[in-house]
Amino acid sequence: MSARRGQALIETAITLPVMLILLLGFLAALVAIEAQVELDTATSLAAASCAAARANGVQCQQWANETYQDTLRHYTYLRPGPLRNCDTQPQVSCQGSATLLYQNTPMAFVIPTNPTLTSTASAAGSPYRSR
Amino acid sequence: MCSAIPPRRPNPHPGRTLGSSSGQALVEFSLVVGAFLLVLLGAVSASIYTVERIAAVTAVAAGARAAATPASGANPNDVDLHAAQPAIEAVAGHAMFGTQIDYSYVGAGASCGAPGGQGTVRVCVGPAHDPNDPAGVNRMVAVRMVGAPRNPVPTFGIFSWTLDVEVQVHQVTFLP
Repeated sequence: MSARRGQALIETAITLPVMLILLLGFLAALVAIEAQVELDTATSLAAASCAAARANGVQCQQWANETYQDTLRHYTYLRPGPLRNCDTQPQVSCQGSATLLYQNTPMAFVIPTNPTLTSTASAAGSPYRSR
Repeated sequence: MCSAIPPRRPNPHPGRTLGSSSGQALVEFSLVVGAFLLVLLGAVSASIYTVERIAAVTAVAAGARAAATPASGANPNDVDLHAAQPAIEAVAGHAMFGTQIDYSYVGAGASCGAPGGQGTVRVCVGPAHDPNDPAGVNRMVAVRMVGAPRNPVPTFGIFSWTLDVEVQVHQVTFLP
């Protein structure tokens, strides 16, 4: 009887961590997908803001940065990185990056690093706008 | 002629019957199935929540773009906050599994208010405060969605998610 109990204990001790790692890994993948979509959205809106700014590079970059930072600051598990190349009009192509902070989530158990996500978005200004 | 009745075999485990062994198997099976179903429902619920959250982020972004663009025929430097609703409905109407979406149009700095119960989200559309523009010349539009979207999987309240997403974008402006 005690040998059978010991076997069950060992089986549980092996199976449980594997199941836990699989579950947390699955959740980590979902969090990464959500974070990528949120970064894509912020970059896309930044490019749109840049295209909507008046025709000088300073305001384009400033509006893009404000939109990008104000959108991403809402998500505690994303640390915004620099927003690049938002300085040409009328065709704008912005490149954003952010660090996904797994350390702030239970998924740090299976993913000890904080990966960097990148995103690129384009927008075109309207030729009919007065500037 | 009567045949001889074979002698009964002795019980190798005195005090333990076949019934208790099958009962033990039943208890183990129910424990394993319960844990398995819990994990399965949790994983499916998390997947559905991800779909709903992605739909919410995409919807509020579409709503912000629509609200930041002036209405046709109106002052070209005015925002059109009510244009956000159809844009949000077009994206989130089907992807959020019948979640009821309420709208409110609030001013800068105002609270979005308490969302309703499970299966209801509130969308707040309004101007956002731009810290680099105290005069409010270059206005920004903020769209926020808060609440508990509907979970079509029956989890009996174990997995009840909430979401809180927000985007901000500069309004489209025109110079004379």
